[in-house]
Amino acid sequence: MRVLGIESSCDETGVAIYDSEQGLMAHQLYSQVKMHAEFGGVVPELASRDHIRKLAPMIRGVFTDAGLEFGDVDGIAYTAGPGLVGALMVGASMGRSLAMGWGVPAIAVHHMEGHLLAPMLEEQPPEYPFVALLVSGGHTMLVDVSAPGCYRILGETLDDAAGEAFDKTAKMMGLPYPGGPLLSQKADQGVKGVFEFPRPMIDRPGMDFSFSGLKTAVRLAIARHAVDEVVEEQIQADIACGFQQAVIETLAIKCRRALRETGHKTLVIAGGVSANKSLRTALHAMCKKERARVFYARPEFCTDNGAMIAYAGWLRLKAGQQSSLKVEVKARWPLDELEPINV
Amino acid sequence: MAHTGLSYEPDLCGRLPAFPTPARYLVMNILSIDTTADLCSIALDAGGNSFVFHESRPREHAKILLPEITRLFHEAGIKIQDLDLVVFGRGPGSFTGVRIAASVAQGIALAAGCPVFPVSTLQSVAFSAAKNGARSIWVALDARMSEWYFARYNISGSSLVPELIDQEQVLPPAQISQTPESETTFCGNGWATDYPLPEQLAERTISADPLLGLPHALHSLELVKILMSEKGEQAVAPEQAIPVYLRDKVTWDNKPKVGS
Ligand SMILES: Nc1ncnc2c1ncn2[C@@H]1O[C@H](COP(=O)(O)OP(=O)(O)OP(=O)(O)O)[C@@H](O)[C@H]1O
Ligand SMILES: [Mg+2]
Repeated sequence: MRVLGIESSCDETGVAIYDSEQGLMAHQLYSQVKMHAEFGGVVPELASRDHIRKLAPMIRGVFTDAGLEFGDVDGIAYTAGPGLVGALMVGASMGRSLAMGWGVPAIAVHHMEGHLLAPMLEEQPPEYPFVALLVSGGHTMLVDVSAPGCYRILGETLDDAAGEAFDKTAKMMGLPYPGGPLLSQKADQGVKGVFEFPRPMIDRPGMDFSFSGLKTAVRLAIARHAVDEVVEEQIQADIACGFQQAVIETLAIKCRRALRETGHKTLVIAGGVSANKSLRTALHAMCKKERARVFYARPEFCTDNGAMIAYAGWLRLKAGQQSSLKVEVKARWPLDELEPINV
Repeated sequence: MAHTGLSYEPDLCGRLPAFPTPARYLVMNILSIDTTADLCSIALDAGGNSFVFHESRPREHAKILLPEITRLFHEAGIKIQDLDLVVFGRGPGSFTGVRIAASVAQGIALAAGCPVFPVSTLQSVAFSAAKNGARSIWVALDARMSEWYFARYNISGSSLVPELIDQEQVLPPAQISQTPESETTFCGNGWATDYPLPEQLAERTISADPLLGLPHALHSLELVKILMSEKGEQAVAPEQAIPVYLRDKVTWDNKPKVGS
């Protein structure tokens, strides 16, 4: 079974073709990051306008790249939420009408399920059951994944998402949007332990997160070390390092709690922040002690992409699920409301 | 699954060939959609008959568009693959509404292997008035935020195609400087708003026909047939069927916050 996947939930247009026999056959990604950078964040209307310009050529493009005749798929998967409604609407409307025209089934995919399943596209995919840590620009959550499509939320962020915390801290240091990856590069130049920031919520039971207090602590540190509003490079790096350590340790502690509570021996990390090397290293170390294994996607599939949507859609289409001709997109869509997938 | 011969592909440089313009407009199968305002308007011309869905369904366009299109195809007894052309209201209008129409038009046309004709919502409303005999036409569509999408048209000779004077604009009505002629027809839902008018319009009793308030997909379809046959206007490849918003200042809610 071969599925076309379409992602347009935020500021990335992603299109891919996944085939159950041949694996990922083609994928294209167009990032609008440069366009939004000048505004310091995603401008929803500009995002939607760009999706409609880019999507159709990219859809043609993946068929060419895959060496397939245009339309040679058995189904279409499109992201239907959570995300920016106007942006989602473009991919969902086009994906659904294409499927109608080609006479193939279509399936509305949950963006975070897409992220969560992205590691399945790797050569050594994780096996069920597992604990998933979703750390992206808009979400931070721990999920008990007992079987395909069966999600129980163990903990969530009470304020900022991890990626958001990275981006906001980067902004405080004057790094251009989205600063997460740049901040993490800066952190690699810093010395561990020079700055010790609070590990939010680790002393509290449960698996919820909070990053706003940490953000405030970093802001104060920056203010304290600024001379004429400039913080010396090395001090900046040390602060970045202290911030990254605090986030990583918090995530690692909660992941360990989740593994112990569920008894699962597999941890899957997904979403943009799962590309962070220090986070991967820290989770490997933690999992080793817990006799668990950690899985993640290749860096390009940690952030938004069409491949993960094609894969998640394939899983549901294969199980006989499909979406009607009514196109519905959602800004909010709790992950645990999804139907289980019978395999 | 393999699909019908879709020969309309970009060449190696990504250029798209001009679409062959069939001479048989009257027997073409044409789908037309307009979701640029509260109306969900769909028309299908097939085998010389017209099938229409035209209802006020604010914020429901995405939910009802494809089911209703399917129903019209069923009534007409044709398949999507039988389509020769897709027409859509390319704006100006509700941003999301325009994009729903554009996305669906592109999706269906890509699947059918046929071209798309993006039609101006302002010109479509003017055409509705022209069908009723109007010769000088001012169209104003409510653009919210105390502004109108506005354009003036003339009808000349025996053609019913409204010819644009100047250009389509988005503006507060008070900025309109022209004076209408005595026989000018006013149409579009803009005239039903209470935005301040310039003197030369405030003085006039303007009675806009409420039936000519918004674009009708069937009229857009008829207009396009005439534009292609009389004016030689060309349909475009699906990927070139892009909305026209007129309002391009869309970043007011997201200025870079200094110091944050
Ligand atoms: N190496 C890295 N270290 C830290 N953060 C990173 C790194 N790479 C990417 N990020 C962060 O990941 C986020 C982007 O991830 P992703 O594309 O998954 O999020 P999103 O799609 O915007 O949000 P969501 O998926 O929750 O809707 C950004 O906040 C970015 O700064
Ligand atoms: Mg994402």
